[in-house]
Amino acid sequence: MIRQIYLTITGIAFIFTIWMIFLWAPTEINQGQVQRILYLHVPFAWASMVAIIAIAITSILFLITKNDKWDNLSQSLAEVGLVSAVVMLFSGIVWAKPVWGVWWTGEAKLTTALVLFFIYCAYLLFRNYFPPGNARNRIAPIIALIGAIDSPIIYYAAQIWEQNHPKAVVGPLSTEESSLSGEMVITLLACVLTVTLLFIGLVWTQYQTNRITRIKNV
Amino acid sequence: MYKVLFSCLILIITFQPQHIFADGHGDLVSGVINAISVDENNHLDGILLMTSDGQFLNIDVQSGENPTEYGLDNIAGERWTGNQNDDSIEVVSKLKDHQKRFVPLTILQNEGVAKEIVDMEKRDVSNNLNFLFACFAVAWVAFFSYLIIINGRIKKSLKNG
Repeated sequence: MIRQIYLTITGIAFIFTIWMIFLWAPTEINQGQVQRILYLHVPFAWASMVAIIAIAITSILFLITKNDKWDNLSQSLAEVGLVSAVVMLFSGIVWAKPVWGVWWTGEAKLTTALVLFFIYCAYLLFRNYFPPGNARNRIAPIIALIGAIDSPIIYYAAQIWEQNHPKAVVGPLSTEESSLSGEMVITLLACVLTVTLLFIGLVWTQYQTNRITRIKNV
Repeated sequence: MYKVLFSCLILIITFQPQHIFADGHGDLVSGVINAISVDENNHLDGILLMTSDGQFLNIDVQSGENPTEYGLDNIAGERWTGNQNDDSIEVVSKLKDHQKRFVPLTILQNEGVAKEIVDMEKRDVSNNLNFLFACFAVAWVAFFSYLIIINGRIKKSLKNG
């Protein structure tokens, strides 16, 4: 019942943010309509970067406590995190073409984001195809930790290397020049909140499904 | 749950604003400068713009909490940025240079008051809608496919049980 209410709230928030993105937020003067990809790209980037840190934490907790719920949570987070990373990469690629003139360039932020995608793939492949046991339980957290180290590098990449990718538009790293204002920032924060709700809802559902499957397997 | 979501969707479609895009916050006009007006202290007061369809439009500038912002390129292509609070004298010479060279400007304005005055964009910004559509379509397809996969797993688990 609680999950149903939660998912309903998420659904309403989802529809509301769609309205904000296409009907409320103003059109950016230099990029035009295509700038609205920001409202998709940034929240999913946020979700994928936070998820890998959460996976590292839950993996370590599993190593310490040997409680299966942490292992189950890691797997659920990894699956939803991978979907988020795919959306982040795809939206970035599609956005780059009209704005930069190329689909992809080997700059720091893009490369480190691609590395994160590969880390998710490696983590899930390793978990699903490596035989269960101590070796898997030890190596999986190491892969997650590499991802957790990559995550802040992605965040700081635009500040450190200063290449094509714009600097942070919200948060502690945003400057007066780079930050968004007015309706744009409100829309972006609403999108981040909605994607976070959606992310938690999906992880929750995935976690319950995995739990039922594991109980049955035992 | 689907009934609630569907009802919300119907409500939004029914009560949506008259304009489909969010350009109600300001109108974009492009054209060349016909005249520049300054006050007694040589601060920029406004400009007379000749739009691409031959109309003349008086545009005022504003200072204070939300000053008019400028982004103007010189003949070498170097960008100068400023605002009405800090650069109201310097911008006059920049705009006179634009007037002399017949450089077209794009102005984001609301009821004749300029919010932003920049060099005219040479790109056709509205042509990027296909990229916007592709991006959102693929993202939603990815997420809804994942939801269907999860749903399938739940059904399978319940069936086996």
